[in-house]
Amino acid sequence: MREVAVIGVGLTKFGELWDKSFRNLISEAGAKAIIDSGISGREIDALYVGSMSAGRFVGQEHVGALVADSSGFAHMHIPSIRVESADASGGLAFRQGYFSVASGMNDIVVIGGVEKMTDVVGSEATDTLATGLDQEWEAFFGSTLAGTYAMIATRHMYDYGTTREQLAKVAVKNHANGALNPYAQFKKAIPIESILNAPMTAYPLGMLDCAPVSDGATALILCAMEKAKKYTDNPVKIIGTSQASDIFAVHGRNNICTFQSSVYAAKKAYTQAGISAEDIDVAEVHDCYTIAEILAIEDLGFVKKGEGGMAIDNKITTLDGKTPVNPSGGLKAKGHPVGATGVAQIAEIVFQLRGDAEKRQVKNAKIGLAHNVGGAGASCVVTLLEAI
Amino acid sequence: MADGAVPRFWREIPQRYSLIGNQCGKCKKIYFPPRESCPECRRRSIGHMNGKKLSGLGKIITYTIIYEAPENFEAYVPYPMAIIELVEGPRITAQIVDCPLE
Repeated sequence: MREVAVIGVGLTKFGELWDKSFRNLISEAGAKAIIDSGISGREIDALYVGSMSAGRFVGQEHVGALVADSSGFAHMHIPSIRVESADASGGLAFRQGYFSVASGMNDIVVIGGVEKMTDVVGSEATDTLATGLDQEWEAFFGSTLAGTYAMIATRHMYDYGTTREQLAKVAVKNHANGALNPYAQFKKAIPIESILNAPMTAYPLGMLDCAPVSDGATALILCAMEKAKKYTDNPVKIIGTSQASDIFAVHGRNNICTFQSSVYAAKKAYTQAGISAEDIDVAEVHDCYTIAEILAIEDLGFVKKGEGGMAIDNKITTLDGKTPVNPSGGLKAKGHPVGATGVAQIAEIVFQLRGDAEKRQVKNAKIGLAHNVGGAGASCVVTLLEAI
Repeated sequence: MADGAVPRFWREIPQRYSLIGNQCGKCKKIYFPPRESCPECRRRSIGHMNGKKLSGLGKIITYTIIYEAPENFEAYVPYPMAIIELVEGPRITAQIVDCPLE
């Protein structure tokens, strides 16, 4: 296996983008990434596209081929592969593209992530997000993705004394960061009272504990490290990539307050990179709900299990904290176009490691982590990157 | 679940109506819904998974109250959901009924 670098990044703005279709979004992100990387476009060997549910959100499948055409690569007959793992689709697309370059089969590939979610009404989006759960044994009885995370939150509060205020502070932090991110859906700081007083989605999670429904796309260019310097002066090296699974239905797990997929994926990635959780300078974690960020910082080893709520109180994860988490605003404020999210997290880490994150730049960031979860933790992808 | 074809609802799944799981004949662990094989005993369990009726008694591990529901449940909000640990061991996700919301 050879070393692989990220040499280009392109994002659309995230939000309710009424004037843009699925194909517009991914083509815009792809073109920006190609321009950022310094390649001409003719060097591209393959496309890998993460999309959770184009079939339900916009009635379109066969999206690998669609993206190849809309981005102008069908004329060059470049292969295109769609990858799906619920809202970890983007992170997994990245991992599959990484394998193809690390193996020597490809030299340069484009990783895309895209979702167009606002073409459906709210309850339809709720239904589609719940397809990441067990349809027969969770969703069939009326549970939702928010409801499942809410049940995890209830138990986390019972076992560890985590409070609704601590959950709300996750959203306060991520909105404060999102206010500094030009790509974010919500560029607005929100006071804790607004979060606590928002209408309930699934007790104890209110509307502002939940990531929004979003449109958006992100693209990255991966290149074999030995060729990366030909195109760019600041390649970012991939030093760890792993994926892990957990019991599919949350009720089937011994401890519902931990995602073993996150724990195992993190362990494998740290081992591959020869580092530990203490070495992480900046992290983008999967905060689809506020409780999810608390689970993530525990499962990734930034704090001990049960201390996630306290870590938020102690500001360990703020931009100037010990381990800054979600400088982009996270899924909560940056937005959560589900198939794009995993790729967008890695894009933010690349910005941070290149020193291109402007007002939200974490000081001296050398090693970054991206943590992308599918559904309620049945799949997880962890990616580690290093500035060189 | 939006517009499913009839067989999706029609398919015979006895566990939708009664708590019948199964038990691994090797390690005796009980599963609900029933599994084709026991993930602990793996190939040794094949052909030894036996039907097991469950008592329907259990305790609540955690709960939520759903306010934003899927399309088919929008008429019922707010409604409570819980994870329940049955006395025989398996856990299930279910709606709580016949109980005031408080």
